[in-house]
Amino acid sequence: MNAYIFPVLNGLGLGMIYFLMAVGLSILFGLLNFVNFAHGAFFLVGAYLCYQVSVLAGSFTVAIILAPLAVALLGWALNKFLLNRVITMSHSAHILITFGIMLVLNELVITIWGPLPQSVQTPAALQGIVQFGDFVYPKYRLFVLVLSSLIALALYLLIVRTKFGALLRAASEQGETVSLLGVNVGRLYSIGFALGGWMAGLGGAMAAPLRGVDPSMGMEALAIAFAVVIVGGLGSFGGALVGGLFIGLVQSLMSMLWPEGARLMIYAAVAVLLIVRPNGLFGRA
Amino acid sequence: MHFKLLLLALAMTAVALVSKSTALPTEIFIFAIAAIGFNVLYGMFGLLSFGHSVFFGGAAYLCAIVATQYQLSAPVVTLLGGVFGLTVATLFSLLSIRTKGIYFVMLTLTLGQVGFFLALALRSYTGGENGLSDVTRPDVTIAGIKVFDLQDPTAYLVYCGIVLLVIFALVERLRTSPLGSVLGAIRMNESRSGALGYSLGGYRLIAFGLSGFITGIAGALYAGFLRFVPLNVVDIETAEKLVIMAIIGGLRNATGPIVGAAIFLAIADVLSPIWPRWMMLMGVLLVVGVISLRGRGIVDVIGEHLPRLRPGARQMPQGAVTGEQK
Repeated sequence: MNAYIFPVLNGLGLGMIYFLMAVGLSILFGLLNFVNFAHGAFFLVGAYLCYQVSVLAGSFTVAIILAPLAVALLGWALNKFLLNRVITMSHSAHILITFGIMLVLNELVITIWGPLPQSVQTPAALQGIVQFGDFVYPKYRLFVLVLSSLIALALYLLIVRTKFGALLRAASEQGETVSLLGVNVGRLYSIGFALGGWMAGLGGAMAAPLRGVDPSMGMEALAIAFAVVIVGGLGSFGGALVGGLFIGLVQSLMSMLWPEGARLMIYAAVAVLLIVRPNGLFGRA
Repeated sequence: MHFKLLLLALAMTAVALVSKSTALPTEIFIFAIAAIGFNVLYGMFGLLSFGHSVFFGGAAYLCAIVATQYQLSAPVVTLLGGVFGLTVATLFSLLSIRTKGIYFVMLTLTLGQVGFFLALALRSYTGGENGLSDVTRPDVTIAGIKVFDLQDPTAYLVYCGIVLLVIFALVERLRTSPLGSVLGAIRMNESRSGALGYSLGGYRLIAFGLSGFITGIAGALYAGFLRFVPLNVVDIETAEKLVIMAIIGGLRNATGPIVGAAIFLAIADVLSPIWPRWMMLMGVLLVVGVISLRGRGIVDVIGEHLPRLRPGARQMPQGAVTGEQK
């Protein structure tokens, strides 16, 4: 039995990172009807900034606080200066523009930090293992699981219990009506971008010590985030959560059973699911 | 039509004569074919796919394996690549038949990942990260007798050029045919075309199949050109390249992707030695191009300024990027 607890916990931790990654994508789609291909680059930039700050400041705590904030700023600025001007264009135009931005950010990362992978030191306080009876688990992975669950809970409360969350939900149903009621929808959108960027950046920062940082992780993360929102459906908080956990578990369990085919199985599972339910499990058209 | 074909042949000859090596023009011709294939689905039919790397890369692997193991004539191998692309594209089409819009784009990207990780998992056939080396480039033979030797780089360049001309003629003919009009109508308004009685699924199958066929042909040529199949032929980056080429060049006809492929690869050739991160420029071009030109490519912009040179050309409907429904 213990043989399965370990990969299941790993899968849950991984799944929560995927959730953080995908929920921003999903919220933005719900809110703005906007598809952000640059979201993977947010993850990438978050991971690299975490690496850089933890090297410079020598503290992972500082890094994991600062890096996501910087990415949030990036998301906010992108919306402010570029993306809010193209929101009226078609979906394909959104995809192509944000895809171009992704290329630029990707190449910028390689220009600054080089094409080779770098490893990020796990903070001293989180090195080692914790022991429950005869079951041992790495501290850092437990930290990822707990922190991301707390953030998911906070995000849920923000969306469901606060006035801001109510506005967010209302704007994603009927943006124009909300705007007519005197709400500054533009600001809401900016906050949406910043929030999505913050979560993707945080996902990247948390993933950095687990897998190191390398330039290809942005595209990888984007593909995973797509897989997550395909499973869960775009525009749904619960969908992103279920999708993220599903993908994380499939990846973790398959890595144990058939390591070469783990990635293949994720995408194959997703493709099958999308054929059965074209709008995802909880999606709307 | 004949005029265009002649013009293209002249332009191709000029490109081949101007460049110092045969490698660059050969690569341009091959990627021009692939980008035309991509554009049959996007520019003509309005479906944006990030999964064309599977048709291209899969055909490259298959043709490399078959050509190395059996003595086949080059056109047979090339067509085999096309048939592979057609088959996989038909499969993609059936898998994606219920999805549209953004879900379609995400599904093609996901299927592209399936193809990539499949190639990685089947390393005994594909060579995994190391790629497939020592690939035989087939000659043109009839009943086992060599008619046309393709081992010389110039001969292969000519062969690829001829294939490009054939594909170009085929696609331009299709564009002006009744079938092409129906594909365009579905791109511009899917529900109305459906209401008029056109089978949306059937036409999607046709557009997808043809697109896969052409891209598969390019993959087959690429394997013979390199005599090696690297893993990145089936990577998302190949699909991305085709998207960028078609967008830069223009989506409205088959000339656009050819020009786009030439510009993309020429920029790559010039810039990559001095600025390894030249893809950044492509990203900027893509953003600026889509925003300021509203999805019109270079060919469209030139065409609008030279209306008198194109006597038969009337004002075309809006391009695929701007004309489709939201």
